[in-house]
Amino acid sequence: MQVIPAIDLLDGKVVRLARGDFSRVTVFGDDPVRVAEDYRRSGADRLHFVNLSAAKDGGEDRQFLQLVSRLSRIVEVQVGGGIRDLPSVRRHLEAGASAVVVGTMLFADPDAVRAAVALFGPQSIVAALDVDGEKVKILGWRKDSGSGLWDAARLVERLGIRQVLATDISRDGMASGPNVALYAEWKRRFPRLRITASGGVRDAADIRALEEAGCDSVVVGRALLDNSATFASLVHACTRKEIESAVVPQEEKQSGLAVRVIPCLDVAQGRVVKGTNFQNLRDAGDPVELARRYCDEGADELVFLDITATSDGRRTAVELASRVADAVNIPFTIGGGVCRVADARRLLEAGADKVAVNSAAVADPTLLEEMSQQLGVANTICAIDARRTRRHGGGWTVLTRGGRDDANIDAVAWAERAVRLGAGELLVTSHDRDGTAAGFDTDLLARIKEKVSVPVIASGGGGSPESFVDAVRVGGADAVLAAGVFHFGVLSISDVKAALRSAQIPIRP
Amino acid sequence: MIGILRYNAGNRESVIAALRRLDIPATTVETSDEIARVDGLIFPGAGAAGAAMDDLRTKRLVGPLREFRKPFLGLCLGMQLLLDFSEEGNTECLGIVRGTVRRLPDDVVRPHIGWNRLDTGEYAYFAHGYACFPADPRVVTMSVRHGATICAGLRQGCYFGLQWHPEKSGRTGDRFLQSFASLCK
Repeated sequence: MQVIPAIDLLDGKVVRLARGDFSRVTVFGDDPVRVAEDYRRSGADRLHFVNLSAAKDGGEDRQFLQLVSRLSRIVEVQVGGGIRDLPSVRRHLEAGASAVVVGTMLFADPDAVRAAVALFGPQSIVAALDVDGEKVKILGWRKDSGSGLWDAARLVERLGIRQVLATDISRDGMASGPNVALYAEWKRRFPRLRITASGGVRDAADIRALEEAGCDSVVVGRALLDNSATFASLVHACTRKEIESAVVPQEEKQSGLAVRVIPCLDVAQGRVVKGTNFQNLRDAGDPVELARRYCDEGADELVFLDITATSDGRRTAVELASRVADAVNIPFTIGGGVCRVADARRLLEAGADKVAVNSAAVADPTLLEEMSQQLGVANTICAIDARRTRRHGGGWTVLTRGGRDDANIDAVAWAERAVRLGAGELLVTSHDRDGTAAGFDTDLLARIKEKVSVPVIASGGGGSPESFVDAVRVGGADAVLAAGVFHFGVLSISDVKAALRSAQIPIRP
Repeated sequence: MIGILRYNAGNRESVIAALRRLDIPATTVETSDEIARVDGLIFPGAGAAGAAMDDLRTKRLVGPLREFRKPFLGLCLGMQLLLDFSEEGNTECLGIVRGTVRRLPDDVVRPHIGWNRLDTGEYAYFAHGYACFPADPRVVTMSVRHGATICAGLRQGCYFGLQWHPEKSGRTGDRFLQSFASLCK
C-alpha cells in the first residue's frame, strides 16, 4: 500500500480543516514547497495537493498552477480542488501533475470526465467521493450530490475511471481513526477499482487496518503535519510495497484482434450493380446509401469493387471514395481497374483506406512494390482470383480480368510473392465458389495462410453462417467477405457475427 | 478552429471527412504561419516514416511542430513521428516524446490490420506494421494486445497520439475526436 501525504492549500498557506469546515482551520505553515521537499526526503513518491480556495470558491489561479509545476519537479503530484471542466483538467496535467482529482465534475459533467479519461488515460484521473454516511457531497463538501454512495461508485466505473479516493468526511481532520468498514465494503463491491482511503488516519495501526481492508493507497494529512506520526513509521507498517499501475494489464492473449465481417459492393459507373432487397432505401443503386446502411448494421469494413476499368470509371471511383468517406465512420477499400500508383494515391487521398490491385499486379508485379513503398504496406491489398486446376500440383491458378483470363500461375506461389513485394493484405476469392453460397474454399485459404504472415480476407462462397465460421476455423481467415448473401437479405451482418461469436471467434460487438 | 496538417503522408481527407461528419470546424494547414493561427492541430499519417520526415524537413515544419503549445494530435504514423527514432527506414523523427518506433513481433499477423480491443474494452481500427515504445511508460494512455502489449495512445504535455484511426473507428473514434475538439478552445 502506498502512503500519500496531503498538502492542502488555503490562501497560500498549508492548512488542515476539521471535517471540511472552512471556519475550523489549522495553519501549519506558508511554504508548501518546503513541506513537499521534506516528504520527498522521507521517501514519499507521491503527494496529494489540494487547492482548497478553488474547491470552495471555484476557479483557479495561476499561482497555484505554478506551484503544481514546482512540486511536480520534486515528487509525483495528484492535484485536486476546483477542477470542474476539461480545460482545467488539461491545465493541471500540462503544468506537470501526474493525476487530477475530480469530485464535483463527476456529477456536474460526467461526459467531460469520460473525455478526460479517453484523452489523458485512466492513470491521470482520480475520482474523489466525499462520503457522508451513505451520501456523497460535492462543491467542497457543502452540497449533496443527490447520489447515493454505491450509485456514485457505479457511475465512476462507467466513466472508465480506475482510481477512487474515498474520504469519510466525518473523520477527516479529526484524528479519530479511518472508517475501515467503509473501505472493506468498497473492495467487496468494486474489486476492480483501486481505492485510496482518506480521513482520520492516526498511526501505523490504522495503516495496517486499511491495508487489511484491501486499500491500495492512503492519504494522510493532519497526523504527519502535527508530527503525531512520522512518514517512515507509516510506510514501515505497509507490507504490500509494490505500486500497481492504474493501466490494467491486458489478458495475456496473443492478440485481441476481431475477425472482420465485410460486405462487398460491386460498382459500375458509380452505381451498385448487383441487386439488393434492402427495405426502405430511396435508391438501392446508390453505393453511399448502401454503405451507410451496412455501417449501421455493424459491418467492420466495406469493399467496393469498381468493375468498370475505364478511365471514366476511375474518375467516378475517386468521387465514390470521397462520398463514402463523408458518409461512414468505418474503413473501406476500393479496387478494380487500378493500374498505376497515381490511381491508387488519388483513391487514398480521396478518403479510401486501402486500395486493392488484381490484374495489373499480375501483369506488372512491381506495382505492388511501388505502392507499398510510396503509399504504405498497410494500404496495399493484393486481390487474387483463384480457380482449382490440375496444374500447379493440383492447386489453384490465378485468373485476371474478372475471371475471363487464366494467367496460368500458381495462386499460392503468387500470394507469397505478392506479400514479398509489399502487399499488406490479401483478398482471396475462390472463383469456383463465387456466387454459389456453397462455402468458402477453405483449402485454398489454409494453403495461403500457411505461407504468408499478412491478414487474409476470405471471399467467394459465403452462404450459411457456419460457412463463415469455417473460413476462420479451417481456412484461418482474418476477415470474411460476401456480397450476394448480404445484398439479398439471406444473411445479415449480425447473423454472421452471432455465428462467429458462438464459435468463440472474437468479433467487434 | 482545428488545423489538419497537409504534407505528403496523409490520410488527410479521411480526417477532414470525419470532422465534417461531426460538425467540428477544421481547416487544412501547411505553413508555420497557418499552424500558428489554429487552436489545435491534427497530424495525420499513413505511409512510410522516412518519406514523411523528408517532406516535413523540406517544408520547414519540424520547428513549428516541436514548438506547438496547443493541443496536438498525431494519428498512426503521425503519433510514431513524435518519437525520437523509427526503425522503419532508420528514420530520425521529431524527438518530442522520448522513445523509439519498432517493428511488430514476427509471431503475429503483420501488418496489424483490423479492429482490436483496447484496454478500455472498446474496439478501435488499426492499420500499422510498426509501433511506439515510449521510454517513459507513464505517457501511455491506452494499450492493446497484438503479439506484445502495444501503445495504442499516448500523451505528453499538449501532445496526444493515437496508433489507431479515430476517423475510422465508429462511435469510439467519433467520441475521441469530439473530446479532442473540446480541448481546442
